[in-house]
Amino acid sequence: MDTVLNILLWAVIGALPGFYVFFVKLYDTRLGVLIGAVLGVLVGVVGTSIGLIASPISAIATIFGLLVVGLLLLPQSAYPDDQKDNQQRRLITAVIGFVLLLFLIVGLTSILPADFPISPGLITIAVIVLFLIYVVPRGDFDNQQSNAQRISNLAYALTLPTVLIVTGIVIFPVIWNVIFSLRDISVGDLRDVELFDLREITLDNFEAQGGFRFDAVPCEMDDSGTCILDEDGNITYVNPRRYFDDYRGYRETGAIDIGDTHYAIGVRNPEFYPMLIRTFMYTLVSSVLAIFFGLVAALVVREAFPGRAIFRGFLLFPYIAPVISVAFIWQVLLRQNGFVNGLLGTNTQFLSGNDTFLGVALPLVMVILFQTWRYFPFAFLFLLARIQAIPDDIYEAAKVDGATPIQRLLYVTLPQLRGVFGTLFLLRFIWTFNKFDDVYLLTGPIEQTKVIPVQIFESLFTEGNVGEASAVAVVMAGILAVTLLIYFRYFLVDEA
Amino acid sequence: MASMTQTNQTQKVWTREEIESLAGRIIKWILIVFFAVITVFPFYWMLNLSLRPEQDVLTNPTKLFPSGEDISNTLHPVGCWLRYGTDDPEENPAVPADCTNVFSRSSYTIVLVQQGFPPFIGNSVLLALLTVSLTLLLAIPAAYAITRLTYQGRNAMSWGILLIYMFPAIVLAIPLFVVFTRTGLAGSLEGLVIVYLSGTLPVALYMLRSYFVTIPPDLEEAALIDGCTYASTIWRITIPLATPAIASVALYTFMIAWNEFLYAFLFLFTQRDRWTLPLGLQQLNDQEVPVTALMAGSLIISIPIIVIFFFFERFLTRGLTAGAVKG
Repeated sequence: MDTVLNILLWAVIGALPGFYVFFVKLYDTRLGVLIGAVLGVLVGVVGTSIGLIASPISAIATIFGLLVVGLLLLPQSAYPDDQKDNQQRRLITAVIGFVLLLFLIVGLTSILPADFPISPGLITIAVIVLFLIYVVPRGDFDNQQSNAQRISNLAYALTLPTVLIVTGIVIFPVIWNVIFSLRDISVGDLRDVELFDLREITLDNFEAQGGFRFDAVPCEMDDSGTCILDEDGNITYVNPRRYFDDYRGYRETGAIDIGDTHYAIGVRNPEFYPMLIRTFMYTLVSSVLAIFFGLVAALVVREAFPGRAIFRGFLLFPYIAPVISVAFIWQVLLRQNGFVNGLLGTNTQFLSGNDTFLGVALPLVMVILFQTWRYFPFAFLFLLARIQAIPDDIYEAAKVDGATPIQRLLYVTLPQLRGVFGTLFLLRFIWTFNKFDDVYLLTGPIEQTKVIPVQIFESLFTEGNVGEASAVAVVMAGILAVTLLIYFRYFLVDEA
Repeated sequence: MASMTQTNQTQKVWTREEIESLAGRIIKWILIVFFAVITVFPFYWMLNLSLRPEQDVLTNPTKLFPSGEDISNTLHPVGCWLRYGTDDPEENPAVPADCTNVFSRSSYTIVLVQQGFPPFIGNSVLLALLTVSLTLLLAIPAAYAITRLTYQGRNAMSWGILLIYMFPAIVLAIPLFVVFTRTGLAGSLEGLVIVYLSGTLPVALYMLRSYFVTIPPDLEEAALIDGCTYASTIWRITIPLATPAIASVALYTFMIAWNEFLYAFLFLFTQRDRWTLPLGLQQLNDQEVPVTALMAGSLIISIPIIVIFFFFERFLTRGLTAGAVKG
């Protein structure tokens, strides 16, 4: 059974580059898949079993290399005459090609000896350049093609580097992230681990963070099998803590009686769900506050006053300065013998400690204020641009109708801004949700301000648990996607 | 006549319009002061603390100004450094007595000399300039193609790239870290530039695109008809016409690369000689350096970006709003 699976796996692995390579040059994908699959089985199964090829990755590199070399050796007459309608193909080709190219690079660097004189970075760049020359069909520009086709080829050539870099740096890591999240990998394994090994996939990483149980707990029984009652006549249940200990480190957080059954709730990581809620809350509040202060600032700057140009420059300071230096100055201002405490005559630990404000941990409040301070200029820029685009005659008309300044603000200006509010909230929500460095640099990795990105970083660097870090990253991307879907579906104001 | 006497007799009645606009003016000035203080004060405080001795900073946390003596005490060692390069007479016999062993007395020389910041400045500048030039080199032709040439998948391409821009950096960080470790790109500035490009290219493309559509294509078409190649059309017509947008892209890209911390930390951490300024500053915090030196460092890395920004504020503001820039 294993052998069959192995052959199938290698056939698929080989078919992919086969499909791709033939797509580019011959447009005969069926033949490509067939040849690729055969090559895959030959190189993958035979090559690795007789020890000719060291690892699956070098096998993939070999397959790809053989296909490319084979095609280059093909005589010109083998190429089809009919090459019309190939723009989309080229686009897809470029993307798949880059993914395969990275396979090749990783394979290449893993088979190179450690003391190879040329650095892998240089090889990577060289391979990318060669690839560009190979894929971008330069010759096509002078062929007897239609004008539209020449233009479209030119357009692909001009955009290709950008598309390749952006998709290569994003799509590929995303795939890997999912693979890592399904495997038990720690930082120490990274040098030797097979990156595409899917043989030992497991959901352990997800369980270790979000594992949740809701179990009916049995009662303590005497020898005859009846439940033991305590002095008040209540049934005694098995201690949930002891009960959950049997399930790989689940911890009990509560118990509830439904009908005659006693349920106990257990989680693997008691900090996981509070962390999700904290991230959500902090993102929401910071986004709204940043937009609010941005609006106030935009309303202030709307009309001219002496020094307005300089004032506008000041307003952007928090946004343009390096996060590390503004995080430091906040730390210094807020420390125990710092300016703020000196001014208030207090001795509060703003960025650590267990004080709360309105029920929220004080360090988290500070992080929210920090985010608000740092990003209100962003909202300010957007809102100011929109406010200045509102035509004056609307205000004149409102004035003639007797609207006072407050009424003009509430019934003229604000409704005009609805669309910008929608877009701004979306952008701020996403970026705050994803933000790592602001939080981490301001308070460090303390429990009170631990949000999802910080948790990912901590799992990766402090615990060295790549698998769990990736799992949290997948959860985070999932939450973001769901939130955005809900937002687009129900909340987004439909205006440019 | 009658109405005039009436006005003179009764006291002036304030209308709601007048009350509100008077209140509005008062509130407006309060807000101007408020915003000016919250935006400028932290940066002033960096300067203030960096100029005072550490003991003074600890005992007088609310002292608003450094004394003249503090300022000259802080700046004098910097002058010595610039003149002699060292505070050790054994290294350079020209060092006078008042410049001997003074570097540990000034927050600025602690950062610049003792903690070895100048190479970090060089790395940051190199990294930022590389990012800026590569971004422009790749984004200008791409933006031209997206706005001027018709081809299948044009819209998908421009929206797809923008969508990718929304992706959480930390999600990409783990796999990139792994790939870079494996390919030997970790610890190299070239690898970091590629990662930065994945962040700067989408914005650059978006900003340039929104500017290109406002330029009428007539000139370019005329040039093409007259026999210019596409390359020379872009070089001679499109780029000169789009200078403001290109300037704002350059500024914004510079800002991203100059300020970036997470990826620099991930990829360069093990190579001290390749550290960027933000990374060097962050690591300073873990050592036993006085807080005044931290403030001096913070100021040193903030000043270039603030100065550049102040000169080109108009460009940047326009670019930021056009491109929905990340932050």
